Amino acid sequence: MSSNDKIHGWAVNLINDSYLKSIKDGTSRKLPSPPGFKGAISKKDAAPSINNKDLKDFQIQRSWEIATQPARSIPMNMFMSYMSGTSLQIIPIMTALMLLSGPIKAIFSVKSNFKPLLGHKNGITENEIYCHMLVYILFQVALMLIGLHKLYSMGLFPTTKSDWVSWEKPIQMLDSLQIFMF
Amino acid sequence: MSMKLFVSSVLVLINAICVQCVYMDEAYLTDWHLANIGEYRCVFDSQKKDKLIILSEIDEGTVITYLNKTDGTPTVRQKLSSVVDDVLRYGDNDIYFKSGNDYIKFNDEAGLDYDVVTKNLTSLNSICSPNSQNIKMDKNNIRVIDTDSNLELMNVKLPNNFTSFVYATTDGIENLSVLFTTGELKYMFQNYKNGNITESWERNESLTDIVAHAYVTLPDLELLQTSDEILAEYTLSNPIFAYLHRIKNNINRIISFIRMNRLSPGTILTNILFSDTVDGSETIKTKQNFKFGFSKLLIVGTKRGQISALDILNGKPLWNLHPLDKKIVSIEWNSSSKEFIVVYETGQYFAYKLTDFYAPIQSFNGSLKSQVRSINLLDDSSTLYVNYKSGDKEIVSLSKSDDLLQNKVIFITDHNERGLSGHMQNSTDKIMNTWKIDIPKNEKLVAYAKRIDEPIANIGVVTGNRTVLYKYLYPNLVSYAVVDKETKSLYIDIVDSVTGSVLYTQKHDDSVNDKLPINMVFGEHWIVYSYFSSNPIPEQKLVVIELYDSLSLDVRVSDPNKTYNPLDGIYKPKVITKSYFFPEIIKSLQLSKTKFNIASKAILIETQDGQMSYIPKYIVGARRKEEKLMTDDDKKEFMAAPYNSNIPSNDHFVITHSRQLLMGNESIISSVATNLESTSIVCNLGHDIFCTKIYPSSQFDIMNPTFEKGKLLLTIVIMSLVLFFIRPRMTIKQLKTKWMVRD
Repeated sequence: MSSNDKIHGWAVNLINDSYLKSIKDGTSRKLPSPPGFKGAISKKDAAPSINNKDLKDFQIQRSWEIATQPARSIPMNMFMSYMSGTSLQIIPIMTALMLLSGPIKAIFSVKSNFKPLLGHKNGITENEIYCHMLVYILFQVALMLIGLHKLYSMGLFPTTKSDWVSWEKPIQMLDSLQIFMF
Repeated sequence: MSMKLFVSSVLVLINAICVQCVYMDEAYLTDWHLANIGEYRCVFDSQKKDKLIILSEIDEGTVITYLNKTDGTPTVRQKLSSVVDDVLRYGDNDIYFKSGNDYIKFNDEAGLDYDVVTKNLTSLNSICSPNSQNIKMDKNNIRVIDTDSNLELMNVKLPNNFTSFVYATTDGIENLSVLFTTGELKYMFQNYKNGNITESWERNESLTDIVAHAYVTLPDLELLQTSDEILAEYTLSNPIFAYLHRIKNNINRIISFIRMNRLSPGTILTNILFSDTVDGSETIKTKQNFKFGFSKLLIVGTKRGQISALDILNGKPLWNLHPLDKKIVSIEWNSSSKEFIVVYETGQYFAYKLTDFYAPIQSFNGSLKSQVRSINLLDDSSTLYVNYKSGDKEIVSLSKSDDLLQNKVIFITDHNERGLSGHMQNSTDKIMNTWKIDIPKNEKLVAYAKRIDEPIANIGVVTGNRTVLYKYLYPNLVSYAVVDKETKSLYIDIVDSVTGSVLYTQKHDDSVNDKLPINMVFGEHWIVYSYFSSNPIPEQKLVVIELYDSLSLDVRVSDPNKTYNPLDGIYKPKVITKSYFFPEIIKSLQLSKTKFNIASKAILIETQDGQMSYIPKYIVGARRKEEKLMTDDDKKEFMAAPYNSNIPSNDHFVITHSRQLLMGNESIISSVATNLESTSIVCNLGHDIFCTKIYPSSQFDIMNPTFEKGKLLLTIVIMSLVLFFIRPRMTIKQLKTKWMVRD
C-alpha cells in the first residue's frame, strides 16, 4: 500500500514499546509523571479474574433472563387485549396482528438473541442453553396465542357455520312443475 | 350491560330517525298524491268566503270536500259514513243533509250535528241542483236575468266541450260563478264579472276508484349495454380473456366519455364533479332516473273502464285509453312481448303494445266466454288463469304461439271467501281439481296471503353467537285466516299449495272483531297478520309467525344435494311466534319489494285514519326476548332489541307525512323494485293515488349528495404531484447517504 509508506516515523514509534526502551538518552524516561497519572497498572493491582465456574453460572443466569423476558409482557398483552374489546376496529386488529408477527420474528431470530452469551473461551456452549431457547420459544408462542385468541374473539376466523352459510344452496325444487298461487 | 343495550337501542333509534324519516326537503318531492273528490253529487256555497262544499260518494258513505274557489284545490276532505241523498236549506242559514229518512244538521263552522232531526218538510228546499230563478241555461249559454225587470244582465257562452251544469250562482248584479262538466268526471269552474272571465280552473276526477294496475319499467339503454357486455364475458372460456375484454370495454368507455366532452378538460371536470349533485340539470336527473330504474309507468284501470298511464315519479298523466265503459278486472303487463292486456268484467279484453312507451297501439282484442271474477297472468306469457263469475275456472292462451302449456304440468291454488282449492292442468286437458279446503258455514275467510316469490339472499338467520338458524324455504306456501263468527276465534293455517296439506295452524281466542279489517302478508319465511280483538283489552294486534327448518342451531333439515318433488309432500316447519300491540287500527298490510331481497323488508301499513307508515321486519320479530332473558350473545345479533309488547307508532316512519289519504275500502297497496337495492317505490291506489319512495335499510347504495368529490379529486392531484417531485429527490438522497456525501 502506498499510503503505508507515507506514515511518518514518529507515528510508528509512538505505538512501538520497544522504541521507548531503545532510546539512549534517558531524560524522557526520568521525567516525572503528570499529576494524577499512576503509570502502568501492575499485574498485582488488577481485578481478580472470574474463574470458569462463575462465568458459566453468570451466563446461565443471563440466558434464563433472556429466555423468560417475553413472559414479562404476557400479562400486559393479555390485559390490553381484554380491554380493547372485541369490536372490529382497525387498531385492535393491528395490535392483534402485531402480537402474531412479533413472536414469529422472535422465534426465527432465537439464536441471535442468545448470541452475546456464546463465543467466550470458557463460557457456555450452545448445547447447554437449548432448553432456554425452548422456553423462550414457548413464551413467544404464548404471546402468539393471545393474538390468535384476540382475532378469534373478534370473529375474524371463519370457524362457525354462519361464515359459510352464504355458500350453501337453498332447497331445490323440481322445475318441471309450474306452480302458481292466486 | 343493560346500560350498553340502552345506549345501543338509543343509537339505533337515532339512526332510524336520521335516515328513515321524510325530511322537509324530500316531502312533496319524492312523493305525490292525487287527492280526488270523485263524482260531484252536490255542490253548494260555504258560509266561508271563497269556499265550495262538494259532496261525493265513497264506498257506503259520503265525502264532504271544502274546495278553494280560486284555484280548485281541496282544503279539507271528510268522510261521512252515511250516504247523503240530498242537501236541503231551511230558512236562510240552516242546512240539512237528508240521508234516508234522517236529517242531519250541517254547520260550516262546527261541522255536523249528529242529532238526527225530523223537520217539517214543507219549508225545506234542495240546494243541490242549480235552479236559481235569475239564471237561465240553454245548451252552452248561460244568462243572468234581473227577476224584477226581466232584463238580461249577462249572457255568457261556455266552452264547446261543455256537457252539463253542476252548480251556478249569481249575486244578481255583476258576478256569476258556474261549475260544469266537460267530459266524464272532468269539471270546469268559471267566474264571470260583467260577462268577462275572472277565474277559471279545471279538475279531472277521472282517475278515481282505481281497481287494477300494472308497473312498466322503462329500460335504460346504458344498463342494457352493460349487461350485454357482462353476458359477452360469460361466453369467453378463459377468465383472463374475460378480464382483458372488460378492461378493453372500460378503456373504450373512457375514450367515448372524453370524446363526448369534446376533449375539453374543463367540461370533463365539471361532468365528473357535478354529474350527480342534488340540483343537477334536468337531463342528468332523467338519465339518473333511468339508470336507477325509477322511470316507470304506472298503468291504472278505473271502475269506469278508463286506462291511464302515469309517470310514477310525479303522477303526470301520459296517455289515456277508454275502450269500454265497464269495470276493469285486471291489467297485466308482459315485459317480454312489451304488451299489456286489460280484461273487463264482461270478459272482453284488449291488448296494447308499448313499442313506444308513450303511445300504446292496440294489438288484439277479444272476449272470454262469460263474466269474469278475477284474472291472473301465468308468468311472462299471455296465458291467463280465468276465474268466471259462474264459478268455472279456465286457462286461456290469448296468443297461439305460447308454449307454456307444452310439456309442463301447471298447478294452481285459488281462493275465495268459501275456501281454498287446488287445481292442475297438463297439456291441453281441462283443468282438474286436486284438493279443496272448505270453510264451515259459521266461519269466514278473512285474510289470505301467498308466499313472496323473490330471490333468496341468505338461507339462514345468523344469531349473535355466529350460529345459524336455518329458514324454512319451501316456496309453495299459502296462508289464510278464518274467523269463527260464533266463538269469535281466529284460526291461522299455513298450507302446502301443491298437496293442500296443512303444515301449521294457530288459534287466537280473544274475541276477534270480524268487522274490522284482518290482514296478512307472507314474507320469505314468515307471516305477519293483524287483527283487532277485544280481550283482555280492545287493541289492534300484530302477530308474527316465523318458520324454521329446525329450532336447533346449525341444524339444517333440507338436503342441498337433493331435488325435492313438491308432489311428495314436504316436511313440516318449526315455528316461533310472537304478538305485539299496535296503537292504530290497521286497514291493510303489504310488503316492500326490492330487487335482490337484501334490504330489510318493510311492512307497509295503511291505518284507518288515512295515513301510511311502515315497520321494518326486524321490529316485528318472533325471536325477540325479554331483556332479562337476553344473553350477551343475543344482544350481538343484527338489530337485536328486547321484546316489548308495544310497537310504537313512530312519526318518522309515516311516509304520508302531512298528507291525508282517502283510499276507500278496496284500495291496493303495492310496491315495485327499482334498480337500487335500497329503494322501493310504494303506491297506494284506490279513491286517491299516492306514490312515494322508501328506503327500509337507508340509502346504502347511493352516494351522499354532499360527498365532497372536488376535495377528493384535489387531494389525489396534490398527492400525485408531491409524489412526482419528492420521489426523485428521495432516491438522490438515499444514494448520497450510501456514499456518505453531504449536500
